[in-house]
Amino acid sequence: MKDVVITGYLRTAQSRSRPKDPARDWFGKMRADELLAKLLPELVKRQGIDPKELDDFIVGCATAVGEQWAYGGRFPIFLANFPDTIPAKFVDQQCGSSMAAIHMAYLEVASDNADIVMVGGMEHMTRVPMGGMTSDSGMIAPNMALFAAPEYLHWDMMTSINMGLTAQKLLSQTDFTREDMDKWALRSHQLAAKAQEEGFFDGEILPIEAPQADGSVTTVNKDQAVRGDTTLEGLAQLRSAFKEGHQITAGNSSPLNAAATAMILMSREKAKEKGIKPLAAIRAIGFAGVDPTIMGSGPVPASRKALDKVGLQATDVDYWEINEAFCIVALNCIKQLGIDPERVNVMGGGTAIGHALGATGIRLVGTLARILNKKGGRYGCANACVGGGQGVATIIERET
Amino acid sequence: MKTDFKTIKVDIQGAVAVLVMNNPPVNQLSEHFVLELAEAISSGFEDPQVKAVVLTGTGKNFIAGADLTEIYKVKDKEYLLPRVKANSAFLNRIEMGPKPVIAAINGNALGGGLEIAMACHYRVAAKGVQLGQPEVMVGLIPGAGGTQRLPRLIGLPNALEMITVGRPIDAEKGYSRRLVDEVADPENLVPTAVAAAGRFISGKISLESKRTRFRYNRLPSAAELKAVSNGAKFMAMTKAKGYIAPFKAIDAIEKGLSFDMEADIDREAELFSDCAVSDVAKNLIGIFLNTRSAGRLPRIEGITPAPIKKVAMLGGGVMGSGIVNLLLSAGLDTVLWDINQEALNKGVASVRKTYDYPIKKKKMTQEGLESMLEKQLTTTTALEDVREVDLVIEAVLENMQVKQDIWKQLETICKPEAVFATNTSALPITEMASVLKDPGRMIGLHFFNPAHRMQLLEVICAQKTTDQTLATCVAFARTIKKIPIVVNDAPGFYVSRQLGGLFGGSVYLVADGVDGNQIERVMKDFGMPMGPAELADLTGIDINYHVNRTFEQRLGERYKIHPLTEAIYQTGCYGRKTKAGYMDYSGDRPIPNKKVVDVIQKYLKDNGVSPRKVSDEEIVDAMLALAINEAALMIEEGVCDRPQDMDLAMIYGTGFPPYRGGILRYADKWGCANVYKKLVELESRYGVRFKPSQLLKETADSGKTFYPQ
Repeated sequence: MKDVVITGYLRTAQSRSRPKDPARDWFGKMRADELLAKLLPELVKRQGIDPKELDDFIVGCATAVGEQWAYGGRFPIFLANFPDTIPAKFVDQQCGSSMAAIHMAYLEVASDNADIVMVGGMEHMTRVPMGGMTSDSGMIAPNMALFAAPEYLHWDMMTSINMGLTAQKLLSQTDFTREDMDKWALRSHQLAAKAQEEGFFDGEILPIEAPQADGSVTTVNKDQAVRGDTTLEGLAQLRSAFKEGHQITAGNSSPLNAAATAMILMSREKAKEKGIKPLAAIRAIGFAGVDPTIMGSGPVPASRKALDKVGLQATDVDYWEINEAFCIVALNCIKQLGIDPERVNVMGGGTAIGHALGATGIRLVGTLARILNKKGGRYGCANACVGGGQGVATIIERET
Repeated sequence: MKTDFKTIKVDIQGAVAVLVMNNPPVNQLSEHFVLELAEAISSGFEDPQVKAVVLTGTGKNFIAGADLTEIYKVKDKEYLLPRVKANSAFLNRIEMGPKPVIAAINGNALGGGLEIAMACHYRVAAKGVQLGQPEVMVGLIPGAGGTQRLPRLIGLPNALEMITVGRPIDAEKGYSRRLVDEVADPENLVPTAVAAAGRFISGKISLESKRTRFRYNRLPSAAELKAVSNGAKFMAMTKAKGYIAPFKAIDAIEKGLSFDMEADIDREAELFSDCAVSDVAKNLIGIFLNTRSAGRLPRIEGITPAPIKKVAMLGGGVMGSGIVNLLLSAGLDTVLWDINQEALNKGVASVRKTYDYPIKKKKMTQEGLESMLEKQLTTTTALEDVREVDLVIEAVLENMQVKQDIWKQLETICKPEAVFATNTSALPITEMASVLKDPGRMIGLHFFNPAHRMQLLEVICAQKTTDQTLATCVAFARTIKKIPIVVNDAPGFYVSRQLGGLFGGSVYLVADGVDGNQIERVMKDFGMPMGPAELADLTGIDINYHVNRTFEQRLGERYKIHPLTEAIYQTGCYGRKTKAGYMDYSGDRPIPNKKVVDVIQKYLKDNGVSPRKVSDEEIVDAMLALAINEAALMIEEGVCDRPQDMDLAMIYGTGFPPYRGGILRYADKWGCANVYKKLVELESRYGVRFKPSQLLKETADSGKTFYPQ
């Protein structure tokens, strides 16, 4: 196995998506593939590599329908006017999609089938909305037998396909309360706002000139959903987002977002040969399946698997990026794995920064690598829950 | 709810109000009808018992679009704009209304009809109905949100095509593109729509998700919109040169499709109004309206056309086989006669060939063709076999004697009421008919090649053609889907002589040192499909020469063949068929034919003429002045008297650019006094060919126009 390092990471800011009011999404007039295509040339330029040297390009996206269908990953290559010799793949592991892209790239490089692989993630939740709107427009059509046939009822698909209901079910299996979740959400916004203020994210966000609904052009260079002024009282007043009487609210869930992310992985030898200082090395990957009605529990077994591979305890990990699809996911993971909460999502999490589904995996690993470099820890673990009942995790080690 | 409407029948089915629109003849969106429709829908919205509204029509149309006669009259944008906006506001009220409105599209939904359907929340279409935004065909753009709603439903590329080309799609295609939500058998249409209404009422379908303006997921990104619009503009520049509407439609789309649909619809209303008051729209609407009334002459008003069920076609050559195609396609029993079996076999093979295209395009099957031929077509070499027919069309050798012999025989064979029609392109029909005991039964039906494709049918009355014969043939023309233009017997009838007038000036200009290539380009820029030399090469320089010779012999000094025409004819280069005419076609690409170039050079040298630079405008003026004069002469001579029909004949018969409205419409726009002045100037330079007709002089003097003002 070759040693695989992350040498570059870049993302767009995450705009706040509003499928029913697209004018308010800063990226409302851009497509996800256009966002991604902006990143690719810039990232290779910053790395000082020729796009011709890319042995593969793997794109993750959770709702790969409509305009997010990417011709097997080739469209972003074409839009970036990259050489046609770069092969591509398109990965859908729902919210784990771009982490799955990292995993595939890791395996390709580790197994010496590739030297340099670029991975990308994209999602535009205004232009290709989740759930009902995608279903109404005929872009997704789940097999109805799963919802109706007696032999499938045990899957409880009505819950399994509605992320808010799965989060509520997970909550019901823990001792956490609405207030715990709201407090975590508040922390997420405060930390993210602070990181924004301190310019931490400027090191990973490529400003994008985005056409706006009114015809103007805005430079989008910060995450749109971060609200430093959020208060616990404000969060407490929010109504249930998914079902009356439930505790999952818009405040303690991640918002809808549009964003793209990109990362370059290569063998240590290649990085050395090219004189590129890696951001981090990948030490282990983990993926696990769980009951789809509590998909938010997925990061726990996925992280355990990854930790086991390298013989680490959760407490050996210096920093965690746990995707806050819902605050309860992070809280549950912290409790189950016995993690110090202060080591988790130290620059804020998905509740504030955003969770543009298919783009998230790279955002988690990339931000984590930058946190390790900034704060000086050794190991970091990024994980995410995955709709349909899965978890994904990646353990990285800071380069010294 | 209110139920006493003149144009709308209200049928309450439980909680659903079914509004049946009935504004004969085609449910056109006339002002009164729209007001009643708005009132009926509002009334449904206000009635608490009514939970949903179904909108459907009677007859072959759901709504056939705006009343073009109303738009045709409007000259003032300031007058029009608020009305267009008010109409859009009505559609917005449907879309944003408190209750679901389901369009049950029973028949064609075109223009404003489709726009109303798109403002509804759900569309059920009857199988086979046509859905379209054909406004560009009459110089307009969709003016009630069509440019904004259609892309939201079917995506930008498909919407751009439908809006800029104007071709409708059928319900099935509409379903596959998601323009309609369901397709139903006509008898199940309203029940299907009522059932859909029920799903809205029960909450199974959310009204909010079905408001078209909120269907953002098919809207392009800014970059896509720019790229696709630019592509569409490029396409329009090559295919719609001279037109305004396709560009305005692209403009409405490119500047629209934002998240603020009200503003986009307002912009669309502005662009629509710009189009509506333009000359191009007036010309195109005029053509549309005149096409419907073509051939409806006062002299045949009230005459019942004789039924034509069985037709004999004499001669299965190029024209004959095309005409047989028309007869068969119209469902008529057809007898094809030719002189021997070999000619007949060739003829039938040619008829089959005319169906290659529809079979290739899957509009018809080989089995369908065979079955049609079996059922409808009989062939014979015996004239006696045509005795049962109602109409005989003759397209045999262009020889008076041969034709007259046949007609004489037929008069003894056919039933007395059968109509005799000749497809001659040059022989005097009055003379042809003179051998008949009943010359009143004879008429000219001048088809254009290829007969099954060209829309025009020149109907030529000989001196004794009866009104009954004419009425029957005008109706017959409509049966075979042709546009009948009625003229009187004269050399070249109308179209050939008018085309001679339009292109006849070129030889005078060339002989005066003007570059022939410039003339070709200018006439194409003007909008003609080809220039005079290119057309001559296609039809045959020798054929043109003989036609001109006939004009010279029968019409006199004015039509004397120009010496340069004579010299070019004498080269023996007759065009494409001899591989050389004005151009040399022997190589891969046509190049100027040296022989003809030399003849022209020699002519110029012999006559001491130097090459002369003229503006494009001067060429257009000279060519059009002569064309207008020719039209005036023909009116004067009684060849024809209806400007609208004359203009249609040139548009449908020769490809005269429709957006210019026709030669006489052009004359009116230019001003007859200006035309007259130009002709006087040209006459002094080139002689009698350009001498203004008396009619033109009178029209110019009186300040009148050819079209009624």
